[in-house]
Amino acid sequence: MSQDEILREAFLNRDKVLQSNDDLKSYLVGHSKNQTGMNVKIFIKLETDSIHDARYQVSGCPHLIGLTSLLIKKIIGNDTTILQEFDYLSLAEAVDLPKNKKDRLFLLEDAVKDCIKHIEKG
Amino acid sequence: MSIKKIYLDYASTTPIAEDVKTDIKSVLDNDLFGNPSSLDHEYGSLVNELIESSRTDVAKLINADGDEIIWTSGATEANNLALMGFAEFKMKDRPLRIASSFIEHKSVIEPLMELKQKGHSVEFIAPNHHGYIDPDVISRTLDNGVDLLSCMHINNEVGSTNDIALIGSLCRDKGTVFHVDAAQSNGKLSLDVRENNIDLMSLSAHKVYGPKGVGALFVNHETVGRLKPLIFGGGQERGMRPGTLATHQIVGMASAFRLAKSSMQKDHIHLSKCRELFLESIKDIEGLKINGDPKNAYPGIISLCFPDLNADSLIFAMDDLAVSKGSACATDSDEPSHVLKSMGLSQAEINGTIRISFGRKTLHQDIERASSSVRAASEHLRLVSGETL
Repeated sequence: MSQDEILREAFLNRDKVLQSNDDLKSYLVGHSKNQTGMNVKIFIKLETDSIHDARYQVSGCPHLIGLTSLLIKKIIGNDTTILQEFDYLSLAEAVDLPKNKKDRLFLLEDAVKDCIKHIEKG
Repeated sequence: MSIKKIYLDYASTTPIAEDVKTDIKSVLDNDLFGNPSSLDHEYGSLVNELIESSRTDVAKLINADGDEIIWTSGATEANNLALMGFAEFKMKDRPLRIASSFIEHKSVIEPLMELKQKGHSVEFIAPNHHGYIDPDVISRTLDNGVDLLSCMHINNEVGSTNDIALIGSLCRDKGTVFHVDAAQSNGKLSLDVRENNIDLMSLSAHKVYGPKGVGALFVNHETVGRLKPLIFGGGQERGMRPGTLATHQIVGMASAFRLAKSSMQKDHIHLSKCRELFLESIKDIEGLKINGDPKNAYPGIISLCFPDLNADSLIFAMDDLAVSKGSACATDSDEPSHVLKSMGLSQAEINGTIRISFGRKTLHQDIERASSSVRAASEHLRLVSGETL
């Protein structure tokens, strides 16, 4: 798959978008937004120390949507430490993120950090 | 190479018409390579005849004389030459007073900013919320004494159409030289330079099914006459635009203009029908609004606004359509559209705006597919953003 195809598939894939029938109370939420109105919400369901399920809502450019979708796919089933150690650059490489859109990674990272804060709070 | 997308970006550029291709090819295939300035032999004189008959054809579309047409590389150069060339030639003992508007193309705004830097007084008029310039505001501006007014005919982003006839008569009454950027309207709307009191007018070939890399500037020989050239190194175009002329491009432009003259009415009816069909089929899409004047805009351009969605993502989601965010000339920068901003749109509205533009080859089934795509894309983004919950 080319980087363009990976981006398009992730952009269009809605499997892990938070649905109306999802039990919102069972998820921890991490949120971030920027000044141009782009925002990311990450929803994580934990079972002991592992990420049993994850969902997202995102509003912004195609890269931000694609990156969020990919990140969610990668963290499900992993230990929560993946959130601390996540390799954002490999995500950027996967979709050939343009240099002028690097801030999308920061936005995603901020949403994840917000999630970690909630996990630490218990 | 075959691209399987429906092309709906005719305001950006148009495909070269088949008749135009044939005319260009006939120049390339028939030893018409002579320099049109080399009049000492037939290679040159034959080509010179072609250039001059092309000049007449272009002039006819706007009711000008052939010798009022100066060939340029496109409308951008024509705008630069009109503004810089006029100001530099006319400036004698005092700086000029120049007025224009915030909805102009960058090829008007940036030369005017340059002239401001050089000491001329430059005032930009704000458009109304429909995206055109209120003639009453222009009238009041001209009352303050303006040497040159530059105003576009059709706006390239929202399709708003300025009342050139009224603005032209105001300029004539006040003794103001009137420049019209007609890049988006030439060959699409009838525009007679005499009836509309136009002194300078920029023309483009590629917006009207002609080749890229060629345009022209109309210079009224009675009211303006001469301009200072922007480049130097030859006496072509009466010294106002030196450089060897691109014969095949010029023949292509003339061919496109002849075609536009003969099909203008038919084209307009077709585009009006496309617009009507499209607007009807998208009218119930949630959260959608149309920027500009929904009734009196040029029918070939529709500016769609989804204030809560991201235009890049809308375009990305509509994989089967070739549409754009707005001006192709501004897409290399991250700057929000200066046109939409000046019309009073919010940042969210600007971020959520895309432009759809129709042309001769747009089919009615293309319109149906386009409206389905716009609907599907907006629904997808709403779902992904959680807005539908």
